[in-house]
Amino acid sequence: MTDGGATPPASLPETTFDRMTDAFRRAARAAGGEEERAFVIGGQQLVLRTAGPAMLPVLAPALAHLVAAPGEPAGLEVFAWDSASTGVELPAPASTEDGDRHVWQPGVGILTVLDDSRRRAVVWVASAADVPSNEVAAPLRSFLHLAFYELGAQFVHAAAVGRADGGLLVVGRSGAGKSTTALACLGSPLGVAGDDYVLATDGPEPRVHSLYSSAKLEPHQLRRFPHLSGAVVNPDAAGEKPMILLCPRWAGSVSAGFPLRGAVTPRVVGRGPTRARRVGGAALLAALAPSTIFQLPGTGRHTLARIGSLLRHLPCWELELGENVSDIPLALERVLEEARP
Amino acid sequence: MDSVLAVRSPQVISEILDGEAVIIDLETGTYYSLDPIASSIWDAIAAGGSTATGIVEGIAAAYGKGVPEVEAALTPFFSRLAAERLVVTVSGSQAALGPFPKASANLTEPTLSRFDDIQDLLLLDPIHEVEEAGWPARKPDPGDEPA
Repeated sequence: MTDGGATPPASLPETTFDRMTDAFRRAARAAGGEEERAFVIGGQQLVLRTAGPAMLPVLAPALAHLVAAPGEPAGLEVFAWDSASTGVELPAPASTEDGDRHVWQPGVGILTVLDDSRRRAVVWVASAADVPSNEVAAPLRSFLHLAFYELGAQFVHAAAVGRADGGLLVVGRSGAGKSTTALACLGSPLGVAGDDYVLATDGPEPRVHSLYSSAKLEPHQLRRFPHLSGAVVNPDAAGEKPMILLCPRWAGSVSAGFPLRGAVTPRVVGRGPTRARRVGGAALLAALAPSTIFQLPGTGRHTLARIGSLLRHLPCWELELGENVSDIPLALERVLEEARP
Repeated sequence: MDSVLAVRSPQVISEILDGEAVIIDLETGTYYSLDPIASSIWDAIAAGGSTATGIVEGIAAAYGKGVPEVEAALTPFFSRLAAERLVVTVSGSQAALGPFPKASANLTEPTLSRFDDIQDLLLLDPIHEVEEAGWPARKPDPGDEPA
């Protein structure tokens, strides 16, 4: 595909962000127009504009539970295009200091450029068709992290489960059982606000806000949830974790968020009952902060302080995951009962 | 002038929660958890103005132990902090120390646990802030400035 009738500007914009939005607009013209979708994330109206339809299957499915009516003013705005479907290539960056932030994920080929307000971003990939499923499970991470950081909310590498009146942050190192804990709650009275990433706000009433209605599992974990195997959207993707989109099939089990009553760190025992015991917050800080900080760009010291402050306000438990995953929601309900203010 | 211990900032960051420190080396992705006694020592280092000698004397007083005994218990820990490049020594003098907190009933050798699991994550899905240097490889675009 070529650039079509899209003409380059008479002179190049001064900032990298403006160069990216200019390229996006040319891409949209080349693709026959913009697609627009709206979502409410963490109380903010996010408007997603894509050049043609190619980027929608990359960015929209995991946000399906947060779809909002269009027309509201955008608190956050994302423009996205790919070169393969539009013929518009990535522009060169501006060479001046412009206050923009440019985040590059070479492993998955995603570039995110934020303007100096951190409320707007342009996302580019070479080919939408080549974006791995694991990115589809958790799109726009760099943007949402930096945008909500400015707004006082913290993007965290954690799951969260609970009821409308209170829930739990589920933190752990990779393989600790976060996804197992979250997915065990599907169909239970506890809703799932996320299996890998959620947004958390600190303060007198800490809250969790859902980001993604998706789940990733190790293949061996999928054997514990045979009813989910038919829902894997990437069964043939070599080297990727099986990924599940919870909407629309489990939309009733997805929560948009809740007040936080505590935090748990699961530990797979694999035998006996599932049970919880109170622990200090330091083990959870070690499980949560490093993996959050290193998966997200550039706010390390402040992110560590924020996560420390959040956990300081929450009672913490270790959750020993026993033989039956069906025991997990009941054990979590007992923890919530104990955490009741 | 003495040698004061200092956190290797800004590469090394830390937070203490419930009396236990978590330390993260932003350069390497390695992170550490410290037991309560090690955390109390780390807290003194992070506050600034502490020499190894001052910390040993403070802990000896807090636990009612002799300085040589405490020095023997703490020296491996100070060496480990330096070997892991978590602290550096800078010239300065011991600041006036208040009573050292007694982090546990008995004095035991401070311990530091090291975790390297994040490094695998970094290799799998690295993330970089880029300027012109590091910008993704690109094909020429009609929007480019004429050569």
